[in-house]
Amino acid sequence: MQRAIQALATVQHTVISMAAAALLALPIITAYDVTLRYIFHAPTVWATEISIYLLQFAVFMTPGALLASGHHLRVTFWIENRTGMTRRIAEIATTLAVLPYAGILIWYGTAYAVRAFDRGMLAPTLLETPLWFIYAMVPIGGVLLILGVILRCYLLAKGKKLDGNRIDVETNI
Amino acid sequence: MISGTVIIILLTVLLVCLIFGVPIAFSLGLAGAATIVAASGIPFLIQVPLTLQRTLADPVMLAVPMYILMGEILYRGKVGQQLFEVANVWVGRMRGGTGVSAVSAFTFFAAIVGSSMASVLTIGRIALPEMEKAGYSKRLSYGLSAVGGSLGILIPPSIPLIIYASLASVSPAQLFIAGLLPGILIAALLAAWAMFAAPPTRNMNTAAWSARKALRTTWRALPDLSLPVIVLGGIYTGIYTPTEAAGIGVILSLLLTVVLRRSLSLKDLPGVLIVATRHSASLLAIVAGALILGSALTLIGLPQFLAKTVMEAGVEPWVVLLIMMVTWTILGFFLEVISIILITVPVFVPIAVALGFDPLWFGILMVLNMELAVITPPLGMNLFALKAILPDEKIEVIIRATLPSLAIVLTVLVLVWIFPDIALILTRF
Repeated sequence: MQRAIQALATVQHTVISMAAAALLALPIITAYDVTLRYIFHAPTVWATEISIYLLQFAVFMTPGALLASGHHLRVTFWIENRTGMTRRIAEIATTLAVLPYAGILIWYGTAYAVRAFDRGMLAPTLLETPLWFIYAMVPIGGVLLILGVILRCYLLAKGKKLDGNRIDVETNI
Repeated sequence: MISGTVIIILLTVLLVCLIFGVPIAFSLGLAGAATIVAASGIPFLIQVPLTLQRTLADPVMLAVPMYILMGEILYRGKVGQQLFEVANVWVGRMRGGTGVSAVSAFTFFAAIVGSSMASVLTIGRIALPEMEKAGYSKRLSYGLSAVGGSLGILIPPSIPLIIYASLASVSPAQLFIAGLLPGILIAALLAAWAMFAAPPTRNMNTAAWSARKALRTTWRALPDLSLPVIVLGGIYTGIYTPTEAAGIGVILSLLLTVVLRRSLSLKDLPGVLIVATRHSASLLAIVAGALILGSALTLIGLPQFLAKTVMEAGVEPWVVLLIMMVTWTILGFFLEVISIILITVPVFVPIAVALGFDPLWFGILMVLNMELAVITPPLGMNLFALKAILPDEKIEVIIRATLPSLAIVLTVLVLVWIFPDIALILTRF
């Protein structure tokens, strides 16, 4: 069991690291494109499109990891006034409430990606990226979200205090 | 399409999820999904991935994580110190000089990053101890920091304005220009308040003023000072879009903090990136959830229904606007800025347009309301930022001390309401 939980935590950590790499790539790609456009009058044909895919990766794949570590923003005035076992049960219940959302992402996201695959849909750009590949990020993100739910519930049941989900004071929103 | 049952289902799912502590992103998504099922049936849930893919393909959204990353780099790279020193060397000797310096640094920092918490954390950390040394009351120093920090979302570039522009289909560059004068007006009122309310005898800057020293300090801070010029100048001259400006800003911030100032080492960068990724991803997850809710609202025709009802009811436009502002204020007690914008803009903008309001002006009024949201409890993000800087201070004391400063934002809000040109005049050039 411990090993399975460790594996789940590693998966979520890897996803966050990959999203961080994607985030770093965004300004590099943008600055490269602006430089080519203004200095060499030869903008890339891929910069915006690849940047959007990187953004979508960061948005669709990370919710599970953020849920597990308690970094999603939420309203806490009710739950903060609970203590002990009541608090733990409330935390687990609010975590499990995410499951229908994950289910929708997996079921309908898969249907959408499969349809794009069957029809051989390509992005209407010069790169002509196969769209099923991009659309598949939604159901994969749904699976990762379920893994995040399992990880968080396990940690909460073990008595870990995951109150990182209070408003993180270093959020620069 | 509109039915009372559907609205009840929407509100019940949304409120129950939010109140019991389900993350905002999932509360919004679940409420949207429940609404879609109630209104059109389960097969229509295919709207969910479709909406997410379509809206997150908008290049404007790319700006959000890049401005967050830029704010994190500048915060960890301690860029605020230079900005505060420059302001202090020029105006620090006058009455309220330390406060005016803080306001100037807040305003300048707001012109670099698009978030209010980053401003409070970066400038407040430097300005608050200085104001304390100069004998400022908590009311004044906390108020200046809370409202000064909130300029981050009004003075361009601004993450809320970028998201509003995307939702309301207006030009982000035009919207940025519209935010400029109201932002400067708030800064001017804050400076006037500092000059009026600061103690006259406790100015710490007692050394003789030297033009040479002032120029030397300014010269040393020139790279920091040139950041907003490059970021905003590029947008206004059309060299790059607001999204591209964010990318350029990140690269320049890295050059400034890692290469030039060495206030940030390469070893620190992974940590900076992880924090920025968490903040960006949690914010964009809310965007995704709100997009599902927005798509559900459009599916049931709520915005159009409300717009039609308001028009037919013959309610005075100012009454409608007041109701919208009260709604923003109430939501501001419980939700953070981006969620409020994402929930309300798709509903409010069609009504505002139907009533003949300029969408640029309406956007600025909305952000002014959001400024109130970030400095009012229980979920005032700037209050949390102040608490992070002042760990020994009770949050109740911070809240009480900052409440009077609301009057400044309210004054500007009323002025922009009565005189829309404050926001719109620069957009006409």
